[in-house]
Amino acid sequence: MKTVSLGSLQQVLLSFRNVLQGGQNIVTCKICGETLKTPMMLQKCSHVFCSLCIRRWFDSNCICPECRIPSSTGELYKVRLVEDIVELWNTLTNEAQVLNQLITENQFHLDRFENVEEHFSCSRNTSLDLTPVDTVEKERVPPDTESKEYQVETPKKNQRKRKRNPSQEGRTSQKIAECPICGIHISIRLIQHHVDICLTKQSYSRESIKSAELLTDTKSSVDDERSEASLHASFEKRPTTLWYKNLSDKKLKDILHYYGLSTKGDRNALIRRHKEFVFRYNAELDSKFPRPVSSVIKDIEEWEKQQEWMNVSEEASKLPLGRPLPVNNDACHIVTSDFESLVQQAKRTRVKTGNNFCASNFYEESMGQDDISVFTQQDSEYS
Amino acid sequence: MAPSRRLYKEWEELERAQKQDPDIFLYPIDDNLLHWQAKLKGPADSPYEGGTFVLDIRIPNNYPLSAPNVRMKTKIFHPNIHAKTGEICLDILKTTWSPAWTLQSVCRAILVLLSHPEPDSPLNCDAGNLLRAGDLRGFRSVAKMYTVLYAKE
Repeated sequence: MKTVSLGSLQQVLLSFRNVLQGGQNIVTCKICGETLKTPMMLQKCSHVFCSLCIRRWFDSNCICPECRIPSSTGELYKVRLVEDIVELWNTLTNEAQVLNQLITENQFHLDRFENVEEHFSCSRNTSLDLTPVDTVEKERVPPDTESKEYQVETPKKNQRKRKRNPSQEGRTSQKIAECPICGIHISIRLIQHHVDICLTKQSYSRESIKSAELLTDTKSSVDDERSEASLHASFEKRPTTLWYKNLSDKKLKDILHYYGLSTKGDRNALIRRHKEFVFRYNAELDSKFPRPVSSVIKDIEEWEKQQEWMNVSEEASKLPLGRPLPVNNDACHIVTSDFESLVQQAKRTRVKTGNNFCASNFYEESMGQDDISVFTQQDSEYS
Repeated sequence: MAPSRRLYKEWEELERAQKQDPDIFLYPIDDNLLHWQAKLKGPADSPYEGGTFVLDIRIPNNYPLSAPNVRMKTKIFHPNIHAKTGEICLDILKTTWSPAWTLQSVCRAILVLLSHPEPDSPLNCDAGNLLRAGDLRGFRSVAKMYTVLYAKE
């Protein structure tokens, strides 16, 4: 049985975690900012987005959100490999969270070792010349197989590293630096390795861009193709709006009813609902395991509620705070006139039936609009 | 699609990378993710150097699909920014918006616009005319004056 030193294990784990963090960008949809859900690739530029996001975008536009190359819904392609990789990614990140916990716990232990080490070095500095100790340690390369040994092993290892670069004295293991290329926070120990990886990646991508440029140079007709494509896209885009324009309300309601959607609301609401249904339905078709239509309909009902709530909150946010809410003057007028007539009637009854003072007072407070007619009838009976 | 989820992601990203970009300080107002404010440091080598410019950012309901509504709150003398309303004439905020842009990148684009004005599509005609007439010195001095008067905290 071989024991692994805690320091090296931690290094591996840290680098693994950083790689995971860096890769998150790759599997993120640029539209919704979340991990890709049923990824779809565009034919011309091979950019990948969530099916639902890109379909919604293509409803009002016909360019790729990332590179502006004209394209449309018809150029979306399913790539099962990407979908599988994203799935794999999700499981990996879940595992990584467990690892993360492990690392933070171990960090704690390492701190403790470092304290011990400081103690060691102090005592040695006073008593011994350090260089012979260093060579002795270097000779003893294979770590001892006894499990007890590794606790002592880590501080010594750290010590050796410190001696090599005295400029970086201090807690090097805790210091975190930022990669100048991708911006990931990473431990100083690992930064060199990480930057190397980043640089190779960057040069690779640059090469690919260059090759692409070369391609465009050789093909002078690319621009023509693009303009053609944009024309094509605009043609493809047009029918949806036209289709809705030519559709009567009744027909639209029939269609919605046919799919089991609600037919409430004005024409705009109906169109929005139908559009959303089509987006979601198509997105379901793209996915690996499409859900039944009923769940899509449920989702749409949920979505509409959200939308409604958002509208309400937006209106609320538009109102300037500190000012009273706008009052409906007509309604106010009606209420006051009712109230005044009520008071007058109450006064009259009080005059006529002087001993019923308390009762009339009670009426004045509790009576609603409906009671007025009853009361006036009584009044006329009295008079 | 609720914009709040994506805005939350952007906010998280900002929290992580706030130190990276010292020229932009972007934050939501009153814990409302649909209303943000940004403070931009005037770019160096421009008449706006040394000033702090406040942006008011309103997020529409279908946010990543349509552009945020950005206005300059600080008074500024710039050909592409309206002197009174603070409206900003920037193509990515209007016609060529793409959901791949983020609030941070929009702020960066506005910073670039500050250092590279486009006098050919002016919202502030005075500034545009000065630049188009080639009176760079006059433009710079007026812009500098506005910066000193309004953009210094």
